[in-house]
Formats: sequence, C-alpha cells, structure tokens
Amino acid sequence: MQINVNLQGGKAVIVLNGRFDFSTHSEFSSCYSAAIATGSVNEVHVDLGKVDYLDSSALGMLLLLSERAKIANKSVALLNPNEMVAQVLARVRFDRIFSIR
Amino acid sequence: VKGGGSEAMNDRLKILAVDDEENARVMLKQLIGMMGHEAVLARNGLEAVALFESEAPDIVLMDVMMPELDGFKATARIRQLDPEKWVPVVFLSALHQTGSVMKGLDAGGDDYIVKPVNLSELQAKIRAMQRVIVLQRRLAEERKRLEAHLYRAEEDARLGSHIMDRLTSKAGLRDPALQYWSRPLQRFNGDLVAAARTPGNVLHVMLADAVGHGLPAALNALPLADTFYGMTAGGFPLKRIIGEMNRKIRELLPRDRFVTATLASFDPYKRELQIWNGGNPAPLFVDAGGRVGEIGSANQLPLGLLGEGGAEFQPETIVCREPGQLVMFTDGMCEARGIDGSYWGSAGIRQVLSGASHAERFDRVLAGFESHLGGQALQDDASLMVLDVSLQAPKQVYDPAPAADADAGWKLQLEFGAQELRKLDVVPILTMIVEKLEASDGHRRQLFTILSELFSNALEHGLLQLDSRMKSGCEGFEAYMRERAVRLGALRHGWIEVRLERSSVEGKPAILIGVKDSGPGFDYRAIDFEQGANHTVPYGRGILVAKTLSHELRYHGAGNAVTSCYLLGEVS
Repeated sequence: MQINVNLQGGKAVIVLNGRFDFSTHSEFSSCYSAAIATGSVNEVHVDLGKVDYLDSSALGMLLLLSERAKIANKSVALLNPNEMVAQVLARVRFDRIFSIR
Repeated sequence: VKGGGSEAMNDRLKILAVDDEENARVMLKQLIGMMGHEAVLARNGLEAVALFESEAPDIVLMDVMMPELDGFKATARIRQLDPEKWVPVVFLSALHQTGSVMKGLDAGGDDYIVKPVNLSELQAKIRAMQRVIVLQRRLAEERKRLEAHLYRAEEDARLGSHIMDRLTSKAGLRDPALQYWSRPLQRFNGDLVAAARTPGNVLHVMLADAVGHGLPAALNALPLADTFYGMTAGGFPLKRIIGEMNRKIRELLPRDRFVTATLASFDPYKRELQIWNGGNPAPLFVDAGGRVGEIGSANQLPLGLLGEGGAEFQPETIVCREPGQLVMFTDGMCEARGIDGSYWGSAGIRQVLSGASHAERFDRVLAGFESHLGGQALQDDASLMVLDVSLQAPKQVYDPAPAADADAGWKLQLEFGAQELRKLDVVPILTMIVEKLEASDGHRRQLFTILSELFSNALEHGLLQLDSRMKSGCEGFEAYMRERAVRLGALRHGWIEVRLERSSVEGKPAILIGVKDSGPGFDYRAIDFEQGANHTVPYGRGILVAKTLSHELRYHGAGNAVTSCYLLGEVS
C-alpha cells in the first residue's frame, strides 16, 4: 500500500489506498506519528476513499492513532469511507470514537 | 608460501595427509601447519581409513601408490563410511599415472595434484575447498539453530493448544439447543465460541472475535473464556458478564487489541431471549415461518472499548412467542471473498437461511460458505453458531438423584436490608448457598430457579413496586429494567428475608423455601395458577415457573410472604 501525507495548513491528510490491514502497520504508524509530531498540525484526517477493505488490525491502528492524537490534543477524522468500509466502521460503532465524514 | 595463523579458529581445518614416503609427509605437514591448519598423518591406505574414522578430518590428501592399501581402494572405503559432511579427497599422483586419475575420481576422489607437488597449487586448492567447507559448517550451525528454534516453537504451540483446548472445548458447548462451527486461519483461533447454562438452566452463549489471528489473537480471547464460564456458573446475568469482560480486556490488553463479541441467553422457562452485540455482524433470527431478519439492532462498541458505565452492557430482551433460530457469525464468514472477489455478506447468509428448513439451516450455511470460497483458503478465522429457541419446556439432564436422608435437618435464615439490596447481587449469593446443599445437580437447578424467582418477585414487586405489565413488548421490557435500576438505586428502607429449611413432608425429604418482604403484598388470588407456565403474557411467569417446580407453593397474609415446598425425591 502506498501512503501519502498532505499538509494543508493546520490539517494533515493521510491518504490510504487498497487493502488496509496489518501489513500497513509500520508505514501507517510512522505517517501518523510524524503528522502528530508536526507542531502546526491540529487536525489529522485519514482519507479512506481509496481503501476497499479494512480488517480488525486496521481498526486497532486507528484506535492507536486516536489515542496518540488525544494526548497531543489534536482531533482525528475519517474521510470518505466506501460502503463496505463504512459498514465495518458502523458495526464496531467507531462513530462514537471518531468523526466520520 | 604465506605464513599461517591468520585463519579464524572457526575456519581452521583438520587435514589428513596420506603418503608412504616420509619426506613427502614432512613436507605436507609443514605446509598444512603454515596455513594454520592441523595435520594428521598416515603412512598407507589402512592407516588412512582408521584415522579418517577416529579423527574426522575435513580434507584428505591421498597418495595413490602405497603399500598395504592403495589410495583408490582407501578412498572407496572412506566413501562407504558415509559421514554426514562432505569431505573432499585430493589425489597426489605422479605424472605417468594421469590415465588412472580418472579411475581415482570414479572411486570417489574430488580432485588431483600431479607429483611432485607444487606447493602454491596445493595451497590454492586447499583454500578453495576451505571456502566450501566453512560455508558448509555455517549452514550446519544455522540448521541446528533453526531446528532447536523450531522444536521450541513446536513445544510452545503444543502447550498453547493444550491450554486453549481446555479453555474452549467445554461441555457446555454440547448443549442440545446449540450448533456451532469454528475454523481458524492459522493453528490458533482468534474466534472463541463458548456456551454454558446457569444454575437456573438459562443458556448463555458467546461468539467472540479478537483483533488479528493466530496465537496473539487467541491470547486476547482467553481472558473472556474464564470470565464467561465462571460467571455463568455463578448465575450472573449477561449484563454483569459483559461488564466484567470489558473491564478485563481494558485492564489486560493494549488499546488496539479489542474483542468484538455477540452474547445471547435463553431462559427456557420465561422464554426470554437476550441479545447483546458489540461489533460483530448483526445476528439473524429465523422465525417459525422461515422469515429471516436482523435481531438486536442496538449494536455496541466492542469489548475493551466500552466505558465503565452500565447502560451499554444491557442486552436487548425479546420474549419469544414462537420457536425460531438465532444465527450468529463472525466477520470471517460474511467478509470472505469468493473466487470472483465478491464478499458473501450477511445477504448471502440470509439467502441460504430463508431457503432451508429448520433442521437443515446450520448445514446449509456451512455448505454455502464452502461453495462461496470455491476451494480457496480462508482469509480470517470464521465461526458460526445457531441457537434453537424452543418453546418446549426443557428436559433437564440430571444425575440420578441419590435418595436423600430423611433425618437430615437444618435451617438457614438470611435477611437483606436496603443497603445490601442496593449493593449486592443477591442471586449469585443464593446460588452459592444452593451449591452447598447436598442435593444433586438437577435438584440444585430447580431449587435455584424457585429461589431466584421468588426473590426477584419480592424485590421488584414487593419492595420496588414495579408493575409487571410494563414488560409487554421490547421497549416495555427495557423501560421496566431502567425503572428497576432507578428505584433500586433510591431504595432506603425495607428488607427481604430468605429462609431455607431441610425438612420432610409426608415422610419424604424436602426443602422448604420461604421468602418474605417488607412490602404491602399483592393480590395473589388473581394469578391463574391453573394456566400453568404455558401462558404467554410476559408477566407473572416467574411465580408460575416456581409453582410448577414446587410440590406446593403458597402465598400468605397480604401476599408479602410465600413458601415453597420442594421434594428431594427422584426428579421426574
């Protein structure tokens, strides 16, 4: 999986594509760690628009991201999930933990 | 010739030099020593074979023409010894013998040097072979290490499997009301199926799915098994079990290691089905007419992510008016990709369910899953559980009841004040008491049921003044439970007394149960005892169940005291 991070003012947008699972772990965590560590960033967005599948490890990674962001006092939003991904997020009630747009 | 001693100890070789001429042996020994290797010397083929066996050299330098046993024959014998490692044999032969060198290579030699030996050439050949030998040594060491590692991993896995099997293949899973199937992606299963009955014969089932798969996932699911079985045996309701499991996972596991789970319970006396779903695919219910629909709409966060509060742990209660099947599955099943890359989805499972008869449904779903996979490997742990909701009064499985001793006698009286009632879960305490009675399993279950029904009545109606009629309908039940919690929290006065007495009635051993509360009582004459436990209104069932199990059940006075006489004879 190719992960891109775009900085747009106070926003860091992490753009994922393809299958979001455990094999993405180290790259994804270094991306969000860098985003959170950037002083000018106060919102981290994860763009799931091109993700066609995510498994439970991916959900775990998103939780870790939210935890880190909370400590750094930054907000997290999940963007553009497709139907399949939205279904999984709804099933585990991640709407209670994240803002999903 | 370069000086030796520069070779690392690990690269030092033992070289067997065989020659019948002393000068040649001395020269070879010197050369070998200068290269930093160890020389072993033999004077003829026989000595060479013996030293090969006892010294296990790395290279053999073999003269051809020798007394006793020539170089070819000695090499042929050496080859028959068949050591585990490759040991090159280099022939040292005079020029006029080159024709027979081919014969020597056939006999098992690896190379040759023409005599008189050119030292630089011999040195170069030894170096070339040394490279191969050193490489071979390293590979052998690696292999040994890998083998040891593999052995240890196997041992660990064996122990893991043993513990996992003990914790997961419980007798409760062989319940006649239950069918289940679970297949791991790897050796260890991150899906956990569990089932057991409470002392009151309520069936509890759980289908859990820990993040990831393999051993780490199985480890995450482990704390759940213990809690589920322990608390079910203690008679705790689902809500408390869910709360405790959530607490355990929060406490034990890192935040990204949550567990999605579906829990359900079925009380065969009250016909109450309770369902709670935290992050698994929505369970399905197939009714008597074969219609399939989702059940338990209020999905919750997975275990480990829920807060400390209680509302999220409350399962939905459905009073069943007709038989049916509750179908639960993990995402490994509905998210499995078929050969064409499509997901099976809940829709695929629903389609199979609605096209099958009651008896076939479980097998048809499995067959449908197999054909969706079309011979492909699993992509995740996958599990399926089907719970039969039958309205038939359950046939309990009893140990043969030993004839109780009619002379035995004791009396026990407990009083719970408002403070205890607010803070304690009294029913598990009563369970513990019943457990200690000398009665058999079957009796214990029935006694427990009577005690807990009478106690709940005293608390909910006598003290809290709740109206059972609130319970009709799903929302009614929830509203009732909410109101119960509010009123219990505000309880400041009142008491409930529980009395257990070992006695005999009409010459038969019996246990007398008395429950009395400080409330105003109720019009017990209005209950239609004759209708038995088969009526379908959602209230008043508790008393009827207790009445059915008792030899005699009687309300007294204003209706705030009740006694049940339970016979300890053979269980019918």
